[in-house]
Amino acid sequence: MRVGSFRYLVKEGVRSLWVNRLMSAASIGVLVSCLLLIGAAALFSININSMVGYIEKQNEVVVFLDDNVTDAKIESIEKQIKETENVVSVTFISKEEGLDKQMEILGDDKEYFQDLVDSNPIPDSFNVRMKNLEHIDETVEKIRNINGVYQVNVPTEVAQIVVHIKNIVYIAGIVVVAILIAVSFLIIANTIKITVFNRRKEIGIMKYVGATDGFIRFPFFVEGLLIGLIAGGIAYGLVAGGYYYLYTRVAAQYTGWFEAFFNNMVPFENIAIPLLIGMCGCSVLIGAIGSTAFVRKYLKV
Amino acid sequence: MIELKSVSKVYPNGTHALNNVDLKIEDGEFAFIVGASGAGKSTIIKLLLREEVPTSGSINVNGFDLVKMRRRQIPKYRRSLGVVFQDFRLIPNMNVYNNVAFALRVTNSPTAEIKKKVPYILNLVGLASKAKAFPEELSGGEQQRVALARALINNPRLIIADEPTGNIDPQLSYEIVDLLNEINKVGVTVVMVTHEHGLVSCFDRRVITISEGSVISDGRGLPKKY
Repeated sequence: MRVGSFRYLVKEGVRSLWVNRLMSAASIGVLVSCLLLIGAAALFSININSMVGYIEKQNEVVVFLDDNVTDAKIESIEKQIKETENVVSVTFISKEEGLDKQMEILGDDKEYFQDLVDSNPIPDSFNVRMKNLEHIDETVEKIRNINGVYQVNVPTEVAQIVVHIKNIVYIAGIVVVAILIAVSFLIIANTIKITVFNRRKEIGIMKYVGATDGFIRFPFFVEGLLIGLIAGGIAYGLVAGGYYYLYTRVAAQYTGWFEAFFNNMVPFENIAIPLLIGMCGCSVLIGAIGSTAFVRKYLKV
Repeated sequence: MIELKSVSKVYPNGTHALNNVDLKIEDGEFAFIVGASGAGKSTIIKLLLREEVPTSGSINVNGFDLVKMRRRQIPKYRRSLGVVFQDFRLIPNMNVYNNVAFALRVTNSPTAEIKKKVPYILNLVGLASKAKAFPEELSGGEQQRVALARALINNPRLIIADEPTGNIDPQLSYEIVDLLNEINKVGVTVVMVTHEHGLVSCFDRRVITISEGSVISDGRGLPKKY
């Protein structure tokens, strides 16, 4: 095909978009709506996963040390724990701090423990937080084997519940997004079928004049591509803009658990580019492939 | 040259449209194909346009074997023809100029050539002033002339006209057939399907009569019984 013909077909695609602007607008509208849903669902899922991950990391394991460990030994144990895989943070609680905490918990009953200040039975300990609770048992085993560690308290039940919730949330997120994508395909396919159906006469005439299938399909491909680009751009603008607003404005205004939530909101910078590629990529693919695929039916003249 | 040898066509629903038809139209001839509705005229056109394939027999048009032809060769074959339909079949969202130019676009003609040929042919059919008009803005006769211009622009060896005057008033109908006549004088083979016997009798040309799927007469002028 010569360059002139290629340019002509591209121009025809662009012209078609304008000439059939009502149908083009409908297709763009449908595609934007579907992308908005999918984008919002995907971002929501990513953030929920991040939140659950945060909760996961809050879970603490208490590592009790042997009696009479030296300061040097404590430092060595801390280093070894920090170097263990899956460990996120290690906080030292001296036996004095440990006793104070117990007294706080006991409240008014603490006077019974006044006498213990001199012979404090509470050992030095480390509060250890992990990244991935699914491997809590392995990590705890490694810590237990460190010389100087007396006992490790593992909130196994809580850990199991958190892991369970994390898996459910992750899978639920994927399932929801997958369903939305499937439904979107159906809706968009239908919309494109209608637009092509409206132009079936035109396609037939072109075949009678001797146009090849490719010659007829290419402008539709260009049209579909443009629709995908425009819809992707609009949808991205709305989703990213909304997310950016939420991330910067709303997060700053609230304290307490909201703050904890928004502190774990996935940063805008992290999602900006993947979201753009995902949305525009999907959008362009759907538009281009959808348009060309449904023309086939009317090429059989 | 068009040659149909023992061509039969049975449609999937069981209709026997053509029965063992033998037909030969030489280069440069002008032939009317007449017959009642349902006689098989449209089927012959569909076969010649390779829209349908015969159930049996062979068809050869200007060196193209229509039976053995593969689907992807059809566009090339159709580009060698000029076709005019009863319903004009102009592309609605293209203006007159672009409708005619389209026939050149599909043959990958350079833009410079298009810019020369299209105005020339529009002039020939008397529609130079309507180049920017859209089909819906034109009368039936004007639309048919655009269709004719499109059919002619690639210098086809054969023009097939399927009831070209069906939607046109009598005066204009005569002019269109007269135009086809002039085109034929230059050496283009013309095959025109029509049921307008009045028109046919105005021109002293070969008339092929089809009835119930068979050729019942083939000669100069309309058969006596009409």
